[in-house]
Formats: sequence, structure tokens, C-alpha cells
Amino acid sequence: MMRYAAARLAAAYPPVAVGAMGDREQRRKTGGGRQRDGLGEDGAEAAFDLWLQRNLHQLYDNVAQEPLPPELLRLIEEDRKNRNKSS
Amino acid sequence: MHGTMGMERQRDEARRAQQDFHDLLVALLPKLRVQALALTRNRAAAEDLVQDAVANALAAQDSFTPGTNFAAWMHRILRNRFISTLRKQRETTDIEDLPTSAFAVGAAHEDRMVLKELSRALGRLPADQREALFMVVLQGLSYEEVASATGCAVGTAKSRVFRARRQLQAWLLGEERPAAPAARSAHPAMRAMLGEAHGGV
Repeated sequence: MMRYAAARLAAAYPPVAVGAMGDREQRRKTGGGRQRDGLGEDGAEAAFDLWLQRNLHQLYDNVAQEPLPPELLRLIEEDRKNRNKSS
Repeated sequence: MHGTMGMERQRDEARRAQQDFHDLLVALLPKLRVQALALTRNRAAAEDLVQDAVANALAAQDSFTPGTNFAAWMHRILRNRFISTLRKQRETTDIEDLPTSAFAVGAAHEDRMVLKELSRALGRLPADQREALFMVVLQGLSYEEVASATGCAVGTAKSRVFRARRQLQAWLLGEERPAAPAARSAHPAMRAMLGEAHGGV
């Protein structure tokens, strides 16, 4: 299943996946850290971090945009009123 | 006369601070809900957690110092509440409990599959790493604020976010573990030398 994500990562962010997977592949073959495409491992990590940020937002921004539960807002507003009364 | 005016001013300031407190709390709610989901991985439990944390915050609002970092203060309450009530429960990582709206519409089938895999991988992360990652990436908190909210050193906060990112990268590339730190951080010349040494074997 995770291979599916790897393939999609390659499609979505060619430098990420090619860099990261190519790097790993090459290290396995040669035991070395030379980059096949000139993208350093740090670059691959930075690109993945960008990819991750974008997809985390895609996953969770909807939650942040959902209407707030009325009972939660009521709880806060009641406290606000009570505090205003007592002060 | 001065005494009466002084008292009135103090009352006004207190009233303004309370007003600000409630406004700050309402404004932070969307982010708190996301953070609660990061901690619980369960929609119903996340809603309960936010409700409990808000109740705790309202009860403890006099201990908040106006002008200090409200987000860090509130995240600390959310976290403490989570630890005291939910950590003992069995963790729920059912994909159905995650934001289905992200999977349902607006994304191509393949993108939805990737999001599901990412979501599943997030569920495999240790809770402290997932929490720190969400705070930095989704809430926009600094490492200092994460450290303050979670009661750890700034270096620990950085390390948690770093390890979360590298572990997710490894899993999503079909690997069990991230590349060894030494190999990752070594100078290119050192990596090349290591490569030649290994390649020659």
C-alpha cells in the first residue's frame, strides 16, 4: 500500500521521489551516497517536507473550517456573560 | 477621588482582559479541534477533548496573563487534559474517524489514496511526534512555543518534528526506517568516501 504513495509521490513531486528513491536505490546498489540526478538528500527532504505540509493542510484544513459546535460557543458566551455581570 | 477612578480603571482593564480572553478562545477553536484530532485520532474523542479543555480554560482563565502567548497556554491545557483523560484509553486509529471530507470530494481518486496512506502513516507515529508536527506545520507554532506547550526542551521539540518528518518520508517511500542520521547528515565528500569504501567491498 505504501508503494502506492511512493508512486504518487513520484508523480506529484518528481524531484522528491526520484531524488529520495533514486538515492536509496543507488545506496543499496553501491553502498554510496552519490546522487543520480544531482538532487542532494537534504534537497529531497526539503521537497518532501513541502509535500507533507501541503497534504497535511489538505487533510485537516476542512476540520478547521467546519462550523464550531453550538454548545461549545454557548459555553464560552455564558461564561463571558457571567463574568461581565460579576465585574 | 483618585482612589475611585483608579478602581474604575482597574475594573475596565479586567473587563477588557476577560473580553479578550473569550475572543482569543473562540478564534483559536478551529486550531484546537485539529490539534485534538492529532492527539486522539478520533473525531468524537477530539470533540470531547476540546469541550473539556475549553471548560478547564474558562475555569482557569484568571491564571492566564494577558499579553502572554495564549495559543501556547491553551495548547498546554488541551494536552494536559488529553493526558489525564484519554491516554489510558486504547488508541483509536480507525480511518473512518479521520476527516472524511478530505477523502470524499475535491480530490482525484489517486490523490485520495495518497491522503489515506498519509493519514494511516500519521496514525503510526508516536503521539508526541505527531503532536509536535501538527503544532509546527498546521498551527504555525514556533519550536519555542511547542516546547512551552508540551513541557519539553526546545531541542526535543525540534527533534520530534524532525523525526516525524523523516519517519513519514520513509514509510511513504515503502521503507520501515528513515535513512541513518549519519548517512543523512554527513558531508557529501564524506558520503562519497563512504560510498567508495562500501562500493569497493
